[in-house]
Amino acid sequence: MRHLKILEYALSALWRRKYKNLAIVLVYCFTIAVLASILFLTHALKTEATYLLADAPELIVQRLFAGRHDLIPLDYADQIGKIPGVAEVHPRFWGYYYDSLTEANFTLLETSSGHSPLTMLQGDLPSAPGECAIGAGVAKVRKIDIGDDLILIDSSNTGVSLEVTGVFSSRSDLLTNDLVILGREDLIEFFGFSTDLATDLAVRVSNPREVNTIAAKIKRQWPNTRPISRSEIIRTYAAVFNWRSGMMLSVFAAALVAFCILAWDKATGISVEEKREIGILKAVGWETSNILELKFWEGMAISLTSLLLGLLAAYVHVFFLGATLLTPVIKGWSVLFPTFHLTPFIDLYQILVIGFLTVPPYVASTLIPSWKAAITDPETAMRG
Amino acid sequence: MESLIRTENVKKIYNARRPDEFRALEGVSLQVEKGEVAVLKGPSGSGKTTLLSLIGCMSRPTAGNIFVAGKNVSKLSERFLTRTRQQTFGFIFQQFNLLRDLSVMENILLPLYPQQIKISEMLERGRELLARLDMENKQQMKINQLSGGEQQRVAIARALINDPEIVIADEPTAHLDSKLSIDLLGLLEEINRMGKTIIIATHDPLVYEHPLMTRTLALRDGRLEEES
Amino acid sequence: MIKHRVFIIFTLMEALTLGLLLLLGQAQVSARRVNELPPLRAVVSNLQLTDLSLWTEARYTRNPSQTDLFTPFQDFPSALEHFPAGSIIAPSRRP
Repeated sequence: MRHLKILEYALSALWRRKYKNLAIVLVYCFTIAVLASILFLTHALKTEATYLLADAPELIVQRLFAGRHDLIPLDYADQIGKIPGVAEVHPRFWGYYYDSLTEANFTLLETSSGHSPLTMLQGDLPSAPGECAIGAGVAKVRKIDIGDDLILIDSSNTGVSLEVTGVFSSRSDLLTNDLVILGREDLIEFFGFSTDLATDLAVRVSNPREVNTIAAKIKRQWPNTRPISRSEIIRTYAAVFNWRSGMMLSVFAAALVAFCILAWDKATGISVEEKREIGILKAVGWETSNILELKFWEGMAISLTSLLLGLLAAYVHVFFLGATLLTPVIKGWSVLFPTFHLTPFIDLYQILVIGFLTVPPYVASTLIPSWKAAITDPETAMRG
Repeated sequence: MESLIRTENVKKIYNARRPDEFRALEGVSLQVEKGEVAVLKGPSGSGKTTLLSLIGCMSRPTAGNIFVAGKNVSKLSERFLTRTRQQTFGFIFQQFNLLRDLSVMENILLPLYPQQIKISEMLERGRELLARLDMENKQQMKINQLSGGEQQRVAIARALINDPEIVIADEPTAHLDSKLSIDLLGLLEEINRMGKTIIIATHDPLVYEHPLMTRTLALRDGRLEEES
Repeated sequence: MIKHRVFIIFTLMEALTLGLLLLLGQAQVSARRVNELPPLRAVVSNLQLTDLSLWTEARYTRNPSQTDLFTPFQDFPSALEHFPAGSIIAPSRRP
């Protein structure tokens, strides 16, 4: 009962300075919402990437020349296919295309026939020359749909017209947003690939546990190649949004500075009015512990409210609104950027860390300055 | 019969053994009986407020003993001192010490917040007291909207909310005109009739020469000069 | 004197809403794992994709898993990072 009454008094005290305290809650809540949004988004993206890329090629073999990625001779495929443990070697043909009309970059990819239908694709994959399937981002930026023509300029500066036979659903944006899928022959002709070269090789291994062994063998036999395993691909995305990278560091630093300013304002001492109030409370019979409990509730009310509202706002922003406010910050110079339909993968540990970093410091910065006044002799209050 | 309040050679030294050492009280021995109205008179700096704060369990003496209802309060810890103060004393401060942003009712109920008493009972006690002091219709008004006399009544109500045995008033007429001073003395008389013991510190002759006073204690330079 | 009741109810409602959203999220994760993720994984395996289509500014931001350590310096050995997304992706930790 006593604790509820002290809470009541604390809330009344906060309400007496309502505009100032509402402003603090607003700023605090906004800071938490931004931080939590970034953490939710990055964690969801990383987890989603880990799930989706679990079916990426087991091993990709690239060729390097002067440290740069170069095209790989097709006869490497034959020889790699002879390594014990290799089930299949599939040459991949793909590349980038800069579309001057929209200033966007597309990724052109070939597909060979014989695939099972894709539910994420409206229409079909190209099955004949002169056909293509495109991602939703390409369709949107070029304003085309199934049945329309996509005109691209090939490596000999000639316009190539491709009939759109399929458009990927926007729910697969995260994978297909900028893709243009062509038949292999069309793609080879488009980029002017030599007949004996491919972009890289996709290697399928009979026993997944032998991937690293086979990769080492390939590297030993062809020192100018670079094998990339599936686990390395997935690990790349686990490291995305690393906190040490410039963008994240800037945002975290800004949030930290904002919070330190807030805490500093509170911690540099309480006002004369507050000191007087504490003195009177002591004079009328409040113990030191009651005063400290009062200050505890004041700090707790503000920080807990801000934390919960901030987390709610972040959740809604990221998982219901597709992180629309963060998109301009994250997209960089990309013209095509996917709409997020993220699965709400949440790391509870992150929520606990946010809570731990926001509530106790604020409560401490409310409690500590009041300490000296709280332990003062009530006699001092009698003297006014 | 044991006196309600008894002090034995009480001393109070502030900032002892430092350059700014100040000896406020130099061995004061007195007693006050139950139901009396005792007045401590003396000029500024004579030690009246210090003596009141010691008797009222606001602080502890440097030397000597203080007995309240037979219990020695000189050596109590802060917690028990506070409890004794809560249960036994009601204070009317010189500057009223009301919280200006709070309402009349909130000010009166301040001493009850940290106690184990239900909110409904708190409000009941507050309303009763305000009715007795003719302030019922002002319970939601802010302190800074009240006159001097009304603030005085609020201060008295707050002092009585715990139904204390002893009421201590420090220079209660310091900021009042003659009419309000007389009103105050009338209220104190009523409080005394309720069975409460009253101790007043003042240098106002209107107070210490009033017939209500049953015991007069004169202080000067921290010493008791005379008693009547 | 109802402020404490209002505060407690309001805080409990916030906490409950957050808890419900987290639970709902868990249910959605389970549902999407069964319904939506398999078709997406089919896209990955059929098209042999290695990266998400996130940043299309540059080669090494579009295909970070395929990038070597040198690609960000493609213009000049000591070229500064000039693609904003490059500051979001940590450099490859491969030898």
